[in-house]
Amino acid sequence: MNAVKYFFIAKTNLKNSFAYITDSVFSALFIALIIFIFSNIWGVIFRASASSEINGFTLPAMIWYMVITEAILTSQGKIIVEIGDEVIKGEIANHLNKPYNYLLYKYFSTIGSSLSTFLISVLVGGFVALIMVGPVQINPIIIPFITISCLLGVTLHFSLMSILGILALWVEDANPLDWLYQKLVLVIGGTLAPLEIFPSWLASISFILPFSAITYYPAKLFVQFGFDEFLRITIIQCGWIIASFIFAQLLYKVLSKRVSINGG
Amino acid sequence: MAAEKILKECSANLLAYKEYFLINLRTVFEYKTSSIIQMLAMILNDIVWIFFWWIFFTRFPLINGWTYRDLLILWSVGALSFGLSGILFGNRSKLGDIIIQGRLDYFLALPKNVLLHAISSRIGASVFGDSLFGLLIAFFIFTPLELPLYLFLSLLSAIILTSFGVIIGSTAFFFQTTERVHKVMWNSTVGLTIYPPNVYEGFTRILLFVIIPVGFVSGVPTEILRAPSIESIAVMTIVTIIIALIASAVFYVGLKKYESGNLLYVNA
Repeated sequence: MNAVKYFFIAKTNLKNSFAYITDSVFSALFIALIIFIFSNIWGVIFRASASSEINGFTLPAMIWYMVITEAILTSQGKIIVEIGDEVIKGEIANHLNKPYNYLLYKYFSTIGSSLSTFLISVLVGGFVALIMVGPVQINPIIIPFITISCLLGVTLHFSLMSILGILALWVEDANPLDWLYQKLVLVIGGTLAPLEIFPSWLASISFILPFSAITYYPAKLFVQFGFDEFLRITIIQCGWIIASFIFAQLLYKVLSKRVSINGG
Repeated sequence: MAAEKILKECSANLLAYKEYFLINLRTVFEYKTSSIIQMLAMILNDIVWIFFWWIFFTRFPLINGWTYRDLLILWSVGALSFGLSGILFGNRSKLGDIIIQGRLDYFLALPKNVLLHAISSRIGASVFGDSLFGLLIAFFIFTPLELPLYLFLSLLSAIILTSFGVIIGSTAFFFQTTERVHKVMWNSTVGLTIYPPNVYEGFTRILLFVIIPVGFVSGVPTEILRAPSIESIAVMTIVTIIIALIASAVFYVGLKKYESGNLLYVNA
């Protein structure tokens, strides 16, 4: 019964998101621009290097890698600010007496609405990548595995953002937390460039931080798939999701105790 | 006589702008803690960006003739111009939303310059962080002799960026745009200014430096600061004036098409 409830929340939000499909297309145009810019930057770098591969990535692999990382990163929007505003303004009190777990409700509604954004981002970004650098060789059999990995990446992304959203109660403004978190995923998480190009000391730190499990691992699987690697990455992603979700739930419990409802 | 009238109008507008600016400044610093957190977070945000480029240039020390220092010049100009345009004309990226929501009515009823009023009636706190970050880098990478040119070019860049904001916002007069469309257009404009512009070739280069001259926001100033010349500074100044005039013309042509809404709101 519980699962059905959340399934319908996701389904309703998915339907809603298709009603505003033009907005998703416009958002994807920004990803198209980023793919275009990096196609030019990497194009110059590849031309200057004598090799057709840099740290195991060909030019098309490098750009298609970014299509996936950007689509994962941007598909959910500003969850930190969304939850943060609800927490700061006290609107979260409206959810306390509802027959659902607030974080699960938020997660399933976000997943529902971000599915269309993710698909459109991959299509638009992929179209630009195709024009700029050509296709990348992938076996269609791996698509279900990549889908699972991307979904886990999106889930971890949501989980970390919900923690920061709740923490906004203590810093009184969610926006700064959002800026910093997004930049960490963008840079340390390997969204803008694969961790292989990092200095070894920084790469080893990035590999063990949760940010790389959001975008780097799923995108790396997309361009360099291996079944053993998929299993390893899935375990890492699930571990971080469980740990962060438990932490988010604990924080939410602390938050719920601090909510004071006044009449009106 | 005509010149005297123009001068009188300019000084009246400047006086009104000064009052607006001081009120906006007081509003920002009314919420000290929140404003300081926003400023510091924006500085950290910018530091993460240049940290990314440090990683990139450590691996690839030369990108089409550009070194990490050139990238820092680009960011110092880009951050200060973005910050300055936000401090001086805080509504430059919100003009389209103001038009769509019918909130331009408020400014139309006032006796002074509509455009100046509309774009300068707000300041955000985070733009101070961008400005400080830009200045901070500048003090590290420029000699004291280079600083005046850096400040002058950043001011011109701020005017160009503001003009792009006005042009983007003014599209709401002519087309049925949405807030999301304005946001994507503005983010794309800013996005193009924070990446090295020297990687583009052919038509893209013409597009970014001639057709939609967004390359003049930070790319051209960076090139001027790398190799200053009177000619290039003159070109930059002329282009700034032209873009500002185009932005103003687009706004006032569009204003004739403006249809007021019946929205009632308090502008406190």
